[in-house]
Amino acid sequence: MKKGLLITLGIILLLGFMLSGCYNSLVTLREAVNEKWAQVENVYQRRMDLIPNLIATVKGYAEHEKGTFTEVVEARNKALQTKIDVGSLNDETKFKAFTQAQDKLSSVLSRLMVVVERYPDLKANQNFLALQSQLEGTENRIAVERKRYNEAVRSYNTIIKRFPTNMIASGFGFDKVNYFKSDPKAATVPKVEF
Amino acid sequence: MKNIVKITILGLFILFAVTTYAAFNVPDRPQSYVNDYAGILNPSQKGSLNSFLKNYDIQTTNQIFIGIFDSLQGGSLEDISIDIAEKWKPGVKSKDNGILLLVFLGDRKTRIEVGYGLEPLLTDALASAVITNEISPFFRKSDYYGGISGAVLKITKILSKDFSPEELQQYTHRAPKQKRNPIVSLIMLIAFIVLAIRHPFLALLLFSGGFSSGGRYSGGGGFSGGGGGSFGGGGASGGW
Repeated sequence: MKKGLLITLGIILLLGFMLSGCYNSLVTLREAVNEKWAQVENVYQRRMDLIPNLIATVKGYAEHEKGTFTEVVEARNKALQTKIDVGSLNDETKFKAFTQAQDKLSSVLSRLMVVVERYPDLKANQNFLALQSQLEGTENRIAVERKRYNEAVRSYNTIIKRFPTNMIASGFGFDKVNYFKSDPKAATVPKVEF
Repeated sequence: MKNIVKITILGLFILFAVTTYAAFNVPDRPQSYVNDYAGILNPSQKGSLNSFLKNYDIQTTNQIFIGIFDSLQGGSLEDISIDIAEKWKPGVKSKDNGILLLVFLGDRKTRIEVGYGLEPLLTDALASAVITNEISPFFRKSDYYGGISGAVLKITKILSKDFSPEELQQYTHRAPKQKRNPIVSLIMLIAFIVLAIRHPFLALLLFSGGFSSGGRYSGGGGFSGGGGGSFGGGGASGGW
């Protein structure tokens, strides 16, 4: 066998290994993003599950605040409908729609909590207090999972831009994924101290 | 020439360290369960808590770490808590069964951070109730050991599933400002007796921690294993 042929074969083999190595790390990082996204969806769902109970409890004391209840129910329904699957995380329009629906729900919930401050009997209700601590816990979980998702996205987005992985990335359809931009704390349930 | 480079690097490093000191500095993973950076517990109290938590770890593999700090240094309680949880990682990796009890003295804030695996047992509402019922009343009187030991005992009780659903319901729904309901006091007494029967050594250690005896406890530092437990932001915050 000619020496030149052997060397060429060797180089092709080496490139092959490098290619598969790059591809595999792309897959791994993208899977990490998907996994973190699943966590984000979990905690947002947890919040949605809490809301009916919360409204029922508040209604018992603050019947006249119908406007606020309607707002919360509508925002919740909108959020339930505005879902996004892991394959569409790179779609900026869909992602924006998702975050807007969730942020709207956050701000409407904040308003409900402000309204609640006007009803001291409700604030002393033990059922409500338990729900309030669950809601605070859920908002914290949302903040934590969003942070972890963003960290996974950062690792992934960085590597698909780096040379030589960027060539393989575009070739195999690994697109840049969206970050959570706004600070979730801005829409967190406020805690009023006396 | 090389020395100049070394000195410059060292100088830059010091400058960096000094400028970042203003922010809250998360300490490295500690070597003991009780970590009192503010110095509010005496050695005998730390010793008995450490022994209790070590034995609890050996028996259940649940790891409860305690961190007592002077100040949040202007940071957010929840952000700093999760940072500490991510660095210290109490609990076993496969079970995520860690708990972090944090106290920030200057800010009068406290938080119980619950690992993923224990969230179903120590719910947010229960964690909040532990702070309201066990920690805040004692801390207001500056009885820090009383608050922390009460909280730890209550948490281990909740995790051991020794409470019936009715008792748990009553615990979370107990009005925080009322005096102790005699039924609850009775439940707590029974709970302590049950603990004393099952784990007499533990109960004795916890009980005698209240006396400031000069005795040394052999269960000082060291973990029995574990580490690597993950946290998801569950738990509760509170103050006094």
